[in-house]
Amino acid sequence: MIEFQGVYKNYGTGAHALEDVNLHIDSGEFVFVVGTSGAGKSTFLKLIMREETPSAGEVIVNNYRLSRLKRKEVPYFRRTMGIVFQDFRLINTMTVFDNVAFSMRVVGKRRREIHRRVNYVLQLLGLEGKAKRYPLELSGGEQQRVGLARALVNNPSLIIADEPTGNVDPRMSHDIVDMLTQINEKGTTVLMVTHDHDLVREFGHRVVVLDKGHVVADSGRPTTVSLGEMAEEAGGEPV
Amino acid sequence: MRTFYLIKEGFRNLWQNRLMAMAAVGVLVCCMLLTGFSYLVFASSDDTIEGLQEENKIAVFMEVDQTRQQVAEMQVQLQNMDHIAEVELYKKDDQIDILYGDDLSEDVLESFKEDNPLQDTFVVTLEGEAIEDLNLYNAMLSKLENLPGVEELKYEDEAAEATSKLGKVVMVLGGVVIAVLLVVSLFIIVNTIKLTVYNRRLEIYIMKSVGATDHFIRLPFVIEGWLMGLLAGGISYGLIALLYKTLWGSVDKMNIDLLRLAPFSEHWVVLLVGFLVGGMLVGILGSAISVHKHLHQEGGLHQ
Repeated sequence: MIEFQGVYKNYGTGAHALEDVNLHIDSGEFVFVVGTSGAGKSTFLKLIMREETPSAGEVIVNNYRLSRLKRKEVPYFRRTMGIVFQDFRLINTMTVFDNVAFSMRVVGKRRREIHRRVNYVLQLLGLEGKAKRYPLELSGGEQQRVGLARALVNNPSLIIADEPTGNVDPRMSHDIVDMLTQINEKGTTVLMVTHDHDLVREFGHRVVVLDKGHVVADSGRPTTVSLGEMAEEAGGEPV
Repeated sequence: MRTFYLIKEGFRNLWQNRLMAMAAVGVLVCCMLLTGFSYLVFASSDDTIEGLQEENKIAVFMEVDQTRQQVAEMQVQLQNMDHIAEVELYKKDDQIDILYGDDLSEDVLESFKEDNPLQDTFVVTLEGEAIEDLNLYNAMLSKLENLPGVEELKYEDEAAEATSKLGKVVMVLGGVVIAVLLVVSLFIIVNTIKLTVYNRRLEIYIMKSVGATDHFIRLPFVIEGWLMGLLAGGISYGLIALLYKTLWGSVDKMNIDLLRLAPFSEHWVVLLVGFLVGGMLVGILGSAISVHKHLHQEGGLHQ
């Protein structure tokens, strides 16, 4: 569950990166967040991941009230979510297996459990033959699937995907969103930031449009309407 | 299991970043060699000064009319005085024997001894403390001069002053040089390790993103720093032992009276323990300081 209550964020330059954002995402939802450059998408994600704290208002994620979270509690909060990055962020000196197992080692899981779970997730994402390979030996799509496996391996209740299809070809983009949809169908909340309008239309999940720090449109339900129409209807710039 | 994993990670990191690690170890070895040689130079200066001090004796000449009884009492009094290491008595009768024993007959010598114009003389060696402290040295001279039956004293006052000053300079200079070198070593090692940490900031950010605690992130780096320090300490000790022994051999062959090099056998424990412990501390501290910045820097997860 994600909740923004009257959230403002500014970085000291005077301009608001986010302004009076109110948003509620229920557990088990799949939400696309779209917006042009400078719309506030990065700040939105940073607040959810507790990389930043709001200047005003409250952000609640997975029952953690983030402005009250102590520094030492942040790692435990982050273990409730899985993050997928646009640039994969894999450790090139580790094998695929170790990259994925890394998340479990961090939380102190036992060796046998790590072995079982990592192999299961790799198989789920079609990477069973790649466990001993290094990231640079894989294609962009395969690397992103490793990133997805790493995000999934601890069975988080929330997946945050920051433009996960930005560095892969269209067919692989479709496959990745398809995988995220399957994960969502099993009950995991998915929040995906994207620029790819075709994907948003094709999958028809809930869409939130950000523009100049405001939520200018929120389909509030699965939709297949044009994002441009949604934004313009709400008075924002076409995305 | 996690601790074992983290230790293994420390070793793995060291191997995977071996080029940077070699640079850091190299820098640390250079600093340690400088510090070690400074220590040995100052230890040698100390030995040389001690050698000079050993020559620094005071001759106490007694009045000619002092009886044997009075001289014997004086000897006891001197031996019981504070700050006196050694008292040697050169009896005036023995001096006659030394001066004329080979040239004159027994009868003539005996007649000389009855009316001996020479003086009983004590050669007094002061303790190190009294020589290093000029005020105490002067107080001792005055005390000896005022003892009953003493006619005059003879001593190398300039040598005493010079030795005292040299001792103080060496002590202060040694402390300052070693302290400066230690600070420079720490500064260089922190910056070198910072580079290795900077190269792996992505790893740190990923660790943070998957919920690693600060302790989990820091430990492999600290172990890596500890290993680098240990390695640098071992290499430094090996090198200094080899180089100093070679130098010691060469100086010994030259047979220079005044120059005394501190024997390595008296200092190897200090050097070995100092290098290993110092290296490990600098390595651990350097790593901990370097990684601290990245641990507290948010905004890296999402760029």
